[in-house]
Amino acid sequence: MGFREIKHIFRNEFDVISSDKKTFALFLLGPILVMAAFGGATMRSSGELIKVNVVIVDEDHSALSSNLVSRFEQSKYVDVKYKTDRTTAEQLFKEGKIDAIVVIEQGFENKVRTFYLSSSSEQKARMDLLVDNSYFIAPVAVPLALQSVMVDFYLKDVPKALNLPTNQVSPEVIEQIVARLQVVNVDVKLAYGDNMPFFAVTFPLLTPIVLFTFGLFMCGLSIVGERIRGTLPRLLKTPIRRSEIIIGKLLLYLIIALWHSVVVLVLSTVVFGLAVRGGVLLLFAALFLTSYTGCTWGLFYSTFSKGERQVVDLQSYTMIIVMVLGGIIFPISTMPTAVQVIAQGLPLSHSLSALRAIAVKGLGFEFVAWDLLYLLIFGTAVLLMALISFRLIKD
Amino acid sequence: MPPIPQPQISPQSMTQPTSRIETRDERGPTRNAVTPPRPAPARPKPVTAQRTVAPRPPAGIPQPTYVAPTGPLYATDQMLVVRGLSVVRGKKTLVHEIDFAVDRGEIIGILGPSGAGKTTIIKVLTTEYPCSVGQVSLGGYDLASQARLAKQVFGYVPQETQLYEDLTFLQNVTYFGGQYGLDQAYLYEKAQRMATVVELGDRLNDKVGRLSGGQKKRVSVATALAHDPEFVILDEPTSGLDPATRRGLWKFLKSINQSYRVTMLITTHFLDEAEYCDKLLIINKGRMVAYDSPRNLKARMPGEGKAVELEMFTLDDYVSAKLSQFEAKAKREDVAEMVDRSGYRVKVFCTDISRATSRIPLLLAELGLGFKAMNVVDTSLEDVFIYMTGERFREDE
Repeated sequence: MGFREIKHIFRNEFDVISSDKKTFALFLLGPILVMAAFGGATMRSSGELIKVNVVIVDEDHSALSSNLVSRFEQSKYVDVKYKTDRTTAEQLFKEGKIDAIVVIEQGFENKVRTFYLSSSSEQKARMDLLVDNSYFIAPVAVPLALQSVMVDFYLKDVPKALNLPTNQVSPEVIEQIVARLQVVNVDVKLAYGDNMPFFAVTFPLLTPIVLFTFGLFMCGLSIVGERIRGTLPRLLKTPIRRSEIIIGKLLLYLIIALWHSVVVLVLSTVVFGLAVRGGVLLLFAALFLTSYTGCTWGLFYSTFSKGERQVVDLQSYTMIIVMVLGGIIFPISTMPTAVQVIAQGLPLSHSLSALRAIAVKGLGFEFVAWDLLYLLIFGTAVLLMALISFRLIKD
Repeated sequence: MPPIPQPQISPQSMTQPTSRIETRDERGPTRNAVTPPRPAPARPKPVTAQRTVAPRPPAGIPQPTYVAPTGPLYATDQMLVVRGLSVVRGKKTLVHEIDFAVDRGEIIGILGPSGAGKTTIIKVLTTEYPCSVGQVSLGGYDLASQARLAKQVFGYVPQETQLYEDLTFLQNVTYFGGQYGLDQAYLYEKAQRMATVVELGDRLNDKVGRLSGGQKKRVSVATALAHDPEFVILDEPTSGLDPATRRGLWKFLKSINQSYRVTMLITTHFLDEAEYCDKLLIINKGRMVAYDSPRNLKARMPGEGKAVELEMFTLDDYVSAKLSQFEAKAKREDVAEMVDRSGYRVKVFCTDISRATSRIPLLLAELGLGFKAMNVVDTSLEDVFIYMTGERFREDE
């Protein structure tokens, strides 16, 4: 093995990769972008990573129920977004704006007192929880939240309300008190996805990645392929307009995207038993629009990329960033506000939201209209960017 | 039809801003400032009328209308008019003030070494580069404002074949031809005819990637001709081909030119190929050196196309030094206007050949220099290039 030969190869490879400024810049900046996305998505503490948005319905309005609400507000696993009535809470839950409803029923404090004095289980106070099971975060976060909330509630708030001594007692005594003070019947119900196959629960998480990636990689080489083959300059010397080239290519890829969407839909429902609750056509629309955004994004990269290497690098970094920030790996609600804005701007977050609503929650058009419209607007905006970019690039 | 007077290239026309060119839509009684006045002959037949092709243009494309001139003729038989063309890219001026006009049916060669500006001119004509200064009219269309219409007029054969190698000859022809709005049935028929013309009738359904370099060039030419262009621009079509294939391609191009009266503009750095052209535009370092027929260019040389060629026995430093003395002396005595040395051969360009043939041996004898042979030879285009630019034409570039 000759050092000189290795040096020559090293030098030549450096010259080759640095000759394309954009690709070289991507080599250097790519990891920074990915790490920024990764860090931005996870920069809060570990506990907050599994934080859920909760609406609390306090029907009792007593001192004790207020204490319980305060305990929820202090929990690092819970973000109390709303305090409202039961009907509004259910509407918010349906719209997917919150992950769980906590209902503290009327007569809560009285029932706690009665139960403590009479130990009658029929008089036990109730707290109902409805947890969104269509996304992995709530079923994990809610038990953790309950654990932290209820321990303090039992040890501090309930004894105080019952005028029991809480200071200078041994742990054994505390255990006895806690055992006696199981005064609240916590009823946790899972909404959506309960008894659903694992495929159905993961369907909204994985299919957007699959369809978006196909679209991105499929269209990424369309224009750049013409550049690599050298056919683009010849084509541009014919009367065809640049916009006609873009639209012509996109139409073909959209037909393929339609096929992808059909395949995903048919295999998911027929082979893997996905029970589409919100309508097959609506699900198909969500799948196709996800592909559409991938296609237009890929086409956009293709309009200005000089070579295959550049476009593949761009696609790879895009996929990582979109997956990290799109709510598939880390919940968007746990990200810092500024990062949430970026995450909400990405098509995958809307695709995920729409697919969850249609496939798992069984919601109709009115609940996914915005997500579908956003996917359409996003895809079309990127298509316009592709048209402008292709017009500006000198081939 | 009498030959159309060509604009004379003079130092004045090359330095002063030139007049605006009328485009097809503007043709009318106003005299075109760039063409000399002459009696109005009958309007030439449209080129397409001579061909057995589908009617053009395709639907939706506005066809230029020829307005019969009532005053002095606008040169409707001029396919290309380039006036005062300069191209500036960034801070660099690639070509300076180029002026020439091409008549219908002519083959024009743009001749110059690599980097002379040939490709820049091609890029302007194919609308890839805008003209920074000047005006270009192609087929009567102004390239600055009617580029899309001008694109209907010309076919382009790039230096590299720029074909889809994974597609067949037939698919390439129909695809590129389809960009001009022609229907597929016509293009299928056209592709079959073109395949016969380019002697690749049995390879029509073969993928282009499987063809040889020469065959690919022929497919490229056939593809450029698919929409029956009136004007074909060929960028170094014979580059990279062996001599036999080059000759074959030129034979084919001449036959197309003669059969269909297709105007051709060809760039080349092969001087022998320049002889096939009706006119040559010689450029060097971005500037126009001459524009005329090969015959006239040679006739412009001293000796009216003849030169004296000496063949030396050896070529060492001594002989070289003596030849320098000979050159100086010959010029001093008006025996030679220019002496060009290339290896063992020395070419003497002079006005009076007979005087030169008698004086040269004496001058060499005075310097004590012998020679193997002395012949009177025809001047070549390379000689023209050297004479006009002061530089040797390097074909290998």
